[in-house]
Amino acid sequence: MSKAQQLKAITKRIQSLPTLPQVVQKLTTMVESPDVTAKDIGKLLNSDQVLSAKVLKLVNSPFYGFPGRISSISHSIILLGFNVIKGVVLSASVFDLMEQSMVGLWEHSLGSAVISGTISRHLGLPEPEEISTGALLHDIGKVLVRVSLSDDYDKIKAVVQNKGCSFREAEIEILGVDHAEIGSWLAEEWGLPERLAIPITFHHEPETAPKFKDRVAAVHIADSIVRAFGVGSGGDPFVGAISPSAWELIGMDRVDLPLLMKKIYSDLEEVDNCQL
Amino acid sequence: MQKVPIDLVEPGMILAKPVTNDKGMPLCAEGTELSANLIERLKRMNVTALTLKGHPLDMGTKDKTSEEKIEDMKARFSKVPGDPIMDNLKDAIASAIASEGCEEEANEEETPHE
Repeated sequence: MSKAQQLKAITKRIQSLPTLPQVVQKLTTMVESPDVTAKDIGKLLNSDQVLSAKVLKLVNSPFYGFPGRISSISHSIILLGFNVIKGVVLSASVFDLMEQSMVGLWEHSLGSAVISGTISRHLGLPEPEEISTGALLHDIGKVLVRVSLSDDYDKIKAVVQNKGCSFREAEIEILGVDHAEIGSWLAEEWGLPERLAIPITFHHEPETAPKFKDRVAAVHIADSIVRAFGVGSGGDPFVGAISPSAWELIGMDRVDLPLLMKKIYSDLEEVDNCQL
Repeated sequence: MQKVPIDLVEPGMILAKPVTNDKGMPLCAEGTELSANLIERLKRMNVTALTLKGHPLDMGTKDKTSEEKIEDMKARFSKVPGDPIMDNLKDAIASAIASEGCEEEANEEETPHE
């Protein structure tokens, strides 16, 4: 069976997608319209108070670089742009799911978002907020494995335990596909823009990304660094190897690494603080 | 410096970082000595944790020494032995963790002890 067929077989078994609030569905259609204004979107988000409170909390968290300064939804839309807001709204809506489904996955995701943001700003990559949002969502496929394929999830956990391998290796053994591919499918179902979907799809194989290679590289590297610092858990305790071409592509080989790690270490302290 | 849940904060402890509310408004400056009254007020403003000077609380497992943290961190690199990029990264993170230990000591010297 080819990869594509395997993925199809798996996604067929996924009866119910994690349900998203109606607001998110509406938002998806709205951001595609060329006439939509920040005010329209602000109005929509404000109609769901729980969601808008979570969105505000997220945009004020340290990784977007405006800690504690954004006081309204429409302000955050203007500062961060529609794509970031969409990612943030999605993250806020799956937060409960993430918290409940896998211990440590939220911290892992948030930590990756902080680190990829710090790296992107340090190296001057374009649109660090979008890179952070991609990192926040990079393991969304794992949520789906946990929620919609829970029997397989238990088997995967057992393989990780018995073989001492990574969660991803165990996924491939049990499912034939990994969470990146499942996440990629979910991103499509949810209508995520490519700039967020591609980092989700290629964060384990950054060199094969068709575009946005620098974003993918930043997320890929952040994934390893957050594991190295031991923040949260992606399902196994191991730091994965970083692709040398991704490392060089964004210029990590030219930075003062100890200085950057010091910065990241102090940024990560704030992650503890950010529960939605 | 130590981050402590507000329920465990006691009067006399000193803030190492300013406290802000969730909109970023400053509530209390760095260096403020906390009183019972102030702690109560911060609780009512939904502040959940404070960053304090020194190391006022023993929180068990969370309070590993820098050396222990570095050991734990190195163990997580067990799948990538001898990889030059990963070795560089490991050393850089080790130095970041180690330097935090030093700063902490420097901070503690400044903190007046009662």
